Amino acid sequence: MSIQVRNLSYIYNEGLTSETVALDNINFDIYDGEVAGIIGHTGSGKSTLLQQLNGLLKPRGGTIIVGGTDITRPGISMRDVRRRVGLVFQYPEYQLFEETVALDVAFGPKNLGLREDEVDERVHDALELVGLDYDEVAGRSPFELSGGQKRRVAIAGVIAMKPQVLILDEPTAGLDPGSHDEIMAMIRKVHESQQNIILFVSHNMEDVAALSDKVMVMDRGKLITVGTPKEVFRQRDRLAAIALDVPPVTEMMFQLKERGIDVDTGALTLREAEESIYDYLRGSKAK
Amino acid sequence: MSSIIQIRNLIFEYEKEENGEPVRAIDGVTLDIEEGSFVAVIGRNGSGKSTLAKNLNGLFVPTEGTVLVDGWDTRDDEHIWEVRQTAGMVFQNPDNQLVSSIVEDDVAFGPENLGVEPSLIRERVDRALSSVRMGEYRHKAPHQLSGGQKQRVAIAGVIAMRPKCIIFDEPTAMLDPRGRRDIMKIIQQLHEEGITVILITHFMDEAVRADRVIIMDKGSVLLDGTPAEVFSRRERMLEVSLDVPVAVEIAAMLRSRGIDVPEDVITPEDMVEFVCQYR
Amino acid sequence: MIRDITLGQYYPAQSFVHRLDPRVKITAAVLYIIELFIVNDFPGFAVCAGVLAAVVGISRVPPGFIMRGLKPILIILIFTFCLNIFMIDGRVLYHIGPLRVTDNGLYTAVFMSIRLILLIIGTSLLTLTTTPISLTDGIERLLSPLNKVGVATHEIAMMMSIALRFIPTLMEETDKIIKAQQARGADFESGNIFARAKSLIPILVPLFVSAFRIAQDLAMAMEARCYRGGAGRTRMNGMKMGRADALCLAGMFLFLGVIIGMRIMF
Repeated sequence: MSIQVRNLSYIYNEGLTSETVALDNINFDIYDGEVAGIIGHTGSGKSTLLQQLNGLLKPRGGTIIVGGTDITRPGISMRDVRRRVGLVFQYPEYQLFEETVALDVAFGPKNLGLREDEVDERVHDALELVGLDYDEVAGRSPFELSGGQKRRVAIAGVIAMKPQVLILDEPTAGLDPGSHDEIMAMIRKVHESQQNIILFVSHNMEDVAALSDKVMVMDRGKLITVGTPKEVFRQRDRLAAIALDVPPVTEMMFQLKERGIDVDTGALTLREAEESIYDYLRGSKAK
Repeated sequence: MSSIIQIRNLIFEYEKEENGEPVRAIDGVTLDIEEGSFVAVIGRNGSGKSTLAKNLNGLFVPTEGTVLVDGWDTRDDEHIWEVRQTAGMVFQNPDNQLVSSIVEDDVAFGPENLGVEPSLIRERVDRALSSVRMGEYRHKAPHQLSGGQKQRVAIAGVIAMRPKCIIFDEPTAMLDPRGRRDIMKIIQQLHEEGITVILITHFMDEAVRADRVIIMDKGSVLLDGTPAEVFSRRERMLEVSLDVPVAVEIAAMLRSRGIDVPEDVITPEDMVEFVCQYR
Repeated sequence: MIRDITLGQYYPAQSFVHRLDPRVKITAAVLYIIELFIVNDFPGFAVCAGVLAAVVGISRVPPGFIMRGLKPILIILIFTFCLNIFMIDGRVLYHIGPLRVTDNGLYTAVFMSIRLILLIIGTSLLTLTTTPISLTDGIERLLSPLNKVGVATHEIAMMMSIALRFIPTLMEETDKIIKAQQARGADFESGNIFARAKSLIPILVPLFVSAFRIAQDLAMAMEARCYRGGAGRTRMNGMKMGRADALCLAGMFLFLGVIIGMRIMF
C-alpha cells in the first residue's frame, strides 16, 4: 500500500475573476506504514490537497494512485475510494448527528454496505481504539459528551471504515492540553494497530516533529519541501520566510546558536535539547 | 494600586434542566485584579475558567458571593451596563461574535448601544480599527476575512466602548499561528496602553507574557503568582494535566542532573540568557 | 453554485445611486414596482426600461453583473412564459404537437416576461447599491410609524440584518458538513424521493446544532456589548435627506405621473 501523487493541480473558480490556483503541480510519494505531517499556513492548499486524496474534489490535472488504483480515473466508484481513504475534517465533532454514539459511528461502515454484524464489530473496535469504553458510551447521545470525547467519537466514525489511508485535518485544533495529548496518543495507537498510512495537517510543530516520518511543507499551492522532520526543521529561516515556525525547543536551540553557543540546532525533542545543553554546560565548566 | 475587579467567595452553579441537581462550576473563589495588570488564567476544560470570565462582566451573576467591577456589583441590575462597559469581552469563536455584515458597522455596535453621539462614534470606530490595524478592511464583510482578522475586528468592537478592562476568553484557540501572533501582539499593546487584561488561555507560551498567572482547577484557584512562581511548581501543573513551558521542562531536567538552574528560568529567552553566562 | 447568486448581494462602488438615502431608494423601488403594474402596453415598458437603463448607468454596477443575477430565476421566467403562451385562448398561430400557440398567448407571454425581467433588475439594483445594514435601517425608519401601534420595528430590522450577516457563515457551514458526511460515505444523489429526504438528516441535524450554537454565542456577545433593544440607541451613520434625495424623489414622482398619463391617454 502506498500513495503516489503526480502532477496534481487544481484551480478554484476557473475562468472567473476570482480564479485561484489552489494546487500547482504537486508530486510526492508516501510509502506503506508512513506517517506524513503537512504544514503550511491557511490558504496554502493543504485542505484542497486532502479533499483531492479523498475524491471530494476532482483534480484539474494529474493522478493520485492509492494502492495501485488511480482514484482520479473517470467512473471510479466513490465507495471504493472511501474504503481506501478516510478523511477526518477539522472540528469533526460538528458532524455528529445520530441519537446514540454507536449509531453515529456506524454511519460510515453502513454506507460502505457492510453486513450488520460486521458493522457492530467495527463500531465496537473503533470506539475502544479511540480510548472510549464501548459499554459506557455506545447508548448515550453524542451531544452529551465532553468536547474531547465528541472528537474521539467523530474520529471513530472514520476509523470504523478501516481506511488504508487515514487523513486528519488539524486533529487537535481547539483542545486543551490534556485532550490534546490524548488525541495524539490515540493517533499513535491507531497507527500501530491498523498499520495504515496516516496523513495529518497541524499547526503544532512539536506534534509534527514527534509523529511524522515525513514532513511536507506547502506554500501558495506548491509543495516546496518534503523530508524527515530533521531535514525540514533544519531550514528555520526558509520556513520563517513563509511564516512557519520550527518546534519551540528547536527555536530555542537556534537562539542559543545565534548567541555563539555551540549546541545542536537539529534537536527536536526536549530530551535531545537538554542533552545538547547539558554537554555544552559541562564542557564549559570543565574549561 | 487599586483593584478594578474584586471577587469575594464566588460560587457559581449551573442549573441542570432535568433532575434539578445544580452543577457547581466555581467553588469559592476570592481574587483581586489590579488595575492595569495583565493576568493569565489557565486551566483545562471544565476547570471553571470560562465560567469565571463570564462572571466578571455580569453575563453570569454569582450564585453566592460578590463580584465588584470598578465598584459596581454585577448583581445590581441598574448598573449592569456600567459593568459591561467597564469590562469588555472577546470570545473564542471569531465568527459568532460579529453582529454586522460590515466591519465598521460592527465596531460601531457597542458605542451605538451605549447611546454615544453619532459623530463621536465615527471617531471611536476609526481609532479602534486603526489600533488593531484593520482600517483598510473597514468596508469588508466578515466572511471575507481570515479568523485572525475577524478576531481583530471583535477586539476593535470592544475597544470602541472604551473599557478599562478587557477579558479575552481563549481568543486564539481557533486561530492559526499567524493569527495567534497578531492577537497576542495586540493584547500586549493594549496592556501597555494601560488597559487591564485578563487572558483565559491554555497556551503556556501566551501565559508567560503575563505579569500574573492564575491556575484554576475544579472551580477553585490552584496556584496564583508571577509566571516564575507558578511555572516553577512543575509537578503541580502536570498533576492537573496542564503543559509546562519548554524552558521550565529543560531546566527541570538539567537540575536533576546536578546543574543549578535558577527557578525563574521560564521563557526560552531566560534559558538562552542562563546558558550564555557559561560562555 | 450557491455563490453565483447575485440577487440580494451588495456591489460596492462610489456612485450617486449608492449615496442616496436608503429610505429614498426603498420608496423609489416601491414606486417603480407600482409603475410596472400600471403599464399595460409596450411603449410604457420602453419608458420604464429607459429609466432603468439610465439608473443602472449612473449606479456604475456592471450590467453583466446584474445579468448574472437573472440566471437563477431563468427557470421561473421560462415557466411563466410557457404557461402563458400555451394556456391562453385566441387566434391560433401555429401548433407544436398537441399544444397550440395563439396570438393572445404570445402577446401575454412576451408582456409578462418583460414585466418580470424589469421587476427583477429594478429590485436587485436596490440591493446592489445599498448595504444590507442601511437597507434594514431604512426599512426600520420607514416602518417606525408602526411602532405606535405596537409593531416591534427595531427588533424586526435587527433580525433581518443578523439573518443577512449569517447567511454566508451558514452556507460555509453547510458546505463543510456535506463534505464531512460525503467523506463518511453518505450518498445524497441516488434512491427515490424518500431515500433522498432521509439522506438529508445527517446534514440538517448538525446544521441545526450549529445554528443554535451561533445563536447562543451571538446573544452572549451582543449582551456583553451592552445591547438592550432599540431604546436609547444611537447610529453612527445618521440618515439625512439631502438635495440629491429630494431630486430623486421628485424624479420618481414625475416618472409615475408620466406612466399614469400614458395609461390614461392611450
